[in-house]
Amino acid sequence: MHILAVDDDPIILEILSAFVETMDDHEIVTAESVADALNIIEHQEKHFDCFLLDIQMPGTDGIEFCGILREMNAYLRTPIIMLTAMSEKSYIDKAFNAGATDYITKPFELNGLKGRLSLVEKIAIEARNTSSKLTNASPLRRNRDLVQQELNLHSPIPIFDVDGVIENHAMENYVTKLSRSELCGSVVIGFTIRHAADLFCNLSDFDFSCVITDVSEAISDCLLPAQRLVSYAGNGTYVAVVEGVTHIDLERLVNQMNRCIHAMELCTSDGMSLDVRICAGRPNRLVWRKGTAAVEALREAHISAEDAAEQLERELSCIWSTEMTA
Amino acid sequence: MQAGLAANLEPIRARFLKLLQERKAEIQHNLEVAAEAPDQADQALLNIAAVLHKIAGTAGTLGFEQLGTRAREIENLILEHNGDQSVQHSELYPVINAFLDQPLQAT
Repeated sequence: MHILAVDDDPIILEILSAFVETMDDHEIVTAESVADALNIIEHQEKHFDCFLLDIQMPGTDGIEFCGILREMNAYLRTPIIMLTAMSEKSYIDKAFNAGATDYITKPFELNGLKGRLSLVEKIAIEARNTSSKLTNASPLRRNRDLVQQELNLHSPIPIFDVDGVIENHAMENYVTKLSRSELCGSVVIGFTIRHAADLFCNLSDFDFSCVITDVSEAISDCLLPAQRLVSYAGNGTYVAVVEGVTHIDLERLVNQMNRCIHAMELCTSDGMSLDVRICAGRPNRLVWRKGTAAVEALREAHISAEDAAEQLERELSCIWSTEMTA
Repeated sequence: MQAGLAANLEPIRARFLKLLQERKAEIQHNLEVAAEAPDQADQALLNIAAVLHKIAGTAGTLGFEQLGTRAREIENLILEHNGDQSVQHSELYPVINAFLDQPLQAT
């Protein structure tokens, strides 16, 4: 991978350069500030496949820079690993919300960094394919251009420009990164679009991806003012990690989301009106769940939402059934 | 990779140690400012926290874990006390002084 590292500490940049030098498949360019980095990006012909960003820097900080990169079509999905001494949850939340892919706290083990780089390599390849399709595309054209690659119902679709919505792999890194105590006040909830498979079969890839994006916006907005991050996990299902809620009136929340979706007046490209509704699974408190157990909680939330949708359909079909009597 | 990396890191460790002396001198200077001019103490302590932040960020990776951990602890202590009028700045000075005198141990 062609990596750009940005840190105001020259020693960190030297360590990273020395480290990358020992690996055959990576090369690194370094910058001591965001201004330098932007200058390098502007003048460098070769596309960067990965960014390593410090947070606390004079001038523009690493989180702001992360947001700037996500505004560029060339770096919409490129892996961004925050490499920072800021270990507080508020920084982790802001970084992932700004589009970070992963978060490593300093001091870091070089072997650990090697592992994280190999994990993002696959994402880097997908990101390069994405960016090559999007050269000079306006934000409105992004989704249309992106769905030229074939969609799969069960795979996560990247969602752009929706506040509080992050990519699915970033969500897994987010919950893995948080400590047990930080996850203690958080709840994970799955939401699923009812009849998502039917929608997927009946809609064009572009229309389906628009529905997925619009619904993500409704979910994310309705979870406010709580601190929340939402990701689309595929199969019409989203997972949300919500912080600081002691009690959730799930029925009211889902009703509010459905009203919000209804108010969006979703329709297909040829003007056909769409009736899209969601339902939610059982909220799952992340008490004492950390690392892989927290990732497992995301999976459970996903399953719970889809089970709830199936249950709802069974109950609805029962309303009109009559008891068979001899 | 390990042998190549260790060889690559050796000159960086040497530069880190040279820079550490400069960073310690910067901490010392800000400590003197804080002690002599109470109206500038808040800013001087924040300057010290910024230097400690840099030491903490790299020391552990280069094998000076104890130094990095102590730098992080004192940085957090300064940031916690920043703006808290009930805490006397002078309570922090011996802690920072002890850090400057701390012998360097590689792990």
